[in-house]
Amino acid sequence: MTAAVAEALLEVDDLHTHFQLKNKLIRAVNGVSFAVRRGEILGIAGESGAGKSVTCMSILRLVPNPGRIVRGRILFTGQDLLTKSEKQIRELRGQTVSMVFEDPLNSLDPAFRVGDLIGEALTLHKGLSKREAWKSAGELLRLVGIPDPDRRLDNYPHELSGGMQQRVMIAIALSCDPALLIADNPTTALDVTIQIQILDLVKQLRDRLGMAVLWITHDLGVVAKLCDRVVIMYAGEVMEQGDVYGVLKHPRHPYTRRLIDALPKLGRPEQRLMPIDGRPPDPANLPAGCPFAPRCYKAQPACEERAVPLVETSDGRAVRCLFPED
Amino acid sequence: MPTSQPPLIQVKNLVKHFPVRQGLLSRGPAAAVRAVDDISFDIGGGETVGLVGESGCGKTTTGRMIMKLLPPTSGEVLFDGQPIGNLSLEQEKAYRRQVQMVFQDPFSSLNPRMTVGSIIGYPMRMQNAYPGAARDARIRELLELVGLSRYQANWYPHEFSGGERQRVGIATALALNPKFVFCDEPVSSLDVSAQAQILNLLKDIRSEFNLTILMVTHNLSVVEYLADRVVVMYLGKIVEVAGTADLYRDTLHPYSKALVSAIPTPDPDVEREREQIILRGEIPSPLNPPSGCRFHTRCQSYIGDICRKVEPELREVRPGHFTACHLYSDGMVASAPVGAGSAGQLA
Repeated sequence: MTAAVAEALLEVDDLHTHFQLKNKLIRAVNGVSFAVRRGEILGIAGESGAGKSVTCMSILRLVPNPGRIVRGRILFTGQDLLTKSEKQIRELRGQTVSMVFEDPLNSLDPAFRVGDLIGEALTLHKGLSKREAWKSAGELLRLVGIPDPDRRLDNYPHELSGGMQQRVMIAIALSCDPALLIADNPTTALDVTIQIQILDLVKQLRDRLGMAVLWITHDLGVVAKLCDRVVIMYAGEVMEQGDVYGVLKHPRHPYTRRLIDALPKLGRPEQRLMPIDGRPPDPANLPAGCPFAPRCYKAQPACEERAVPLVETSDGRAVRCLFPED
Repeated sequence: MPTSQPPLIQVKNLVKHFPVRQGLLSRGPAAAVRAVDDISFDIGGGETVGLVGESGCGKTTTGRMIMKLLPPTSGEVLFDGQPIGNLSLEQEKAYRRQVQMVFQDPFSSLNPRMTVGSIIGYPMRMQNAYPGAARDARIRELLELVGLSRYQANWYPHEFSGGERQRVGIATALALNPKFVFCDEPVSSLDVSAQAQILNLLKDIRSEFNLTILMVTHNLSVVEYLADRVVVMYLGKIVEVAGTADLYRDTLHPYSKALVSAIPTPDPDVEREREQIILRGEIPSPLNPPSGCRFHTRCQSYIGDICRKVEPELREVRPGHFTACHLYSDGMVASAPVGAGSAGQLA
């Protein structure tokens, strides 16, 4: 992936994030590697417990206690974020790399007006005066498609609908022209017609501002609508990655394939859904080999013996499987 | 609306307004959230109807009125031809036995301090059904029916995964052999693989017990998988009713078109080819819904004053396919393409 490394904005390399509980060690992220290129929208997809959110929080060093990043490198424009001081990281957060969370109402301080919430980042990071910040906040609201933005600046978060709140979150995230936007399931709480507005907005902003986007979701449909490339995660590991068309149309990892087969497809209701049998492994007791092997239709004894490497192919895709689909 | 079988449930001019408490100083008539505003539809025996729409459109409120969990402001619900509004105590008890519910969140809808055996047995206890040893046998039978093990009767909800808990919820709903089950977003809190299991389970038990199902959901691909007919709601009104295949292949109402086009689907080819309709604006407040057609503020096919002033009636445009839209009223071309209409045509 030498070509990709050259244009990589963010490179996550062999990341391990573990949670040491009283009597067990939860290996939430277990050797994850991927790169986000400049100006691309990369999706991270997988079911709950796959380690998607912890991966993202690790990037900004926001892993809650008792979580620890125990191994790996996170290179942002070539510099390792894990070796930076807390002060340097704080300057990066919200300025060069910003984040949008799943639940907008819980992420917006209810005691401040929208103008203050957006303005805060501008006064803090860009050194604007309060008045200038208020004015730019209005422009940001217009950018994210909120009608009558100047009036909305005076609103408190609870006065806005869910879609509006999420737009405010995005406006805050965009306030300092980030090079990278990390979004953790930001549209799950929204209705589909609002979700598609937000997805369309993110695409437009990427095209206009050239920022890169790391979009975490459990919905492969959203990946198909929005992303350029996708990383499929399972049990704290990357199972497969590559361009969206290739991965969704011709999945190579059995897990990706089963994930797609389990979804109801538009226009084909007669096709019976294929659920994935069994349960994901206990993160405190991960198998030695491929974590999907106990549920896999292709598993051989070799799959369970030792860890399976992520193998890259010439077409820019990678798969962690001993017996991939062609 | 004719259905192939005599309707088990008839919803007639159902209205639900929730009054909103006003401030101390405010004058004038009390405001009300018009959650459901004069809707009528039938559910035939053995039929599965999907009720779809976005948050605040009144779909759950409608289901709750059918379940007699909420009294309607006006209008009525008939079950087997009998209005459910004025049942005697005895009849009410019988009604409760025949209609059951599967909840959205399998985490908060199961009592964490009860074993799943006693959760599933609870409705039987309430209705004095399956006395003595028959009850335990019935609990074991239900557990196996929904794909759990009979030995899990002594487990507590926290020992199950989300999908397994939803199976417990379904077993509980089936305990008294109901005729009708109301499923309120039954899979929206589940992971993809659990979702597929539950959808398949619902499909199987439906045909096994000839159940009538009303499924409320915002997920149109789920509806397409399970439902025979679909009712689309927007801001308390029905905008379209059609057989499932018709609704997806030949969508009439501009709102339904936007909904169908917004469903994320994991097939990149479908994603590339299909028409993408992105609605402007947000869902207006049900406190003060727009005049005329409630969808006119966001409609991509707005044809002029009539949309703003006249409320469209639900009419049968094709056999069994109803929609409430001026595009399809008399004198208009029934198959008017999106955006083709203009104000001039009407004048």
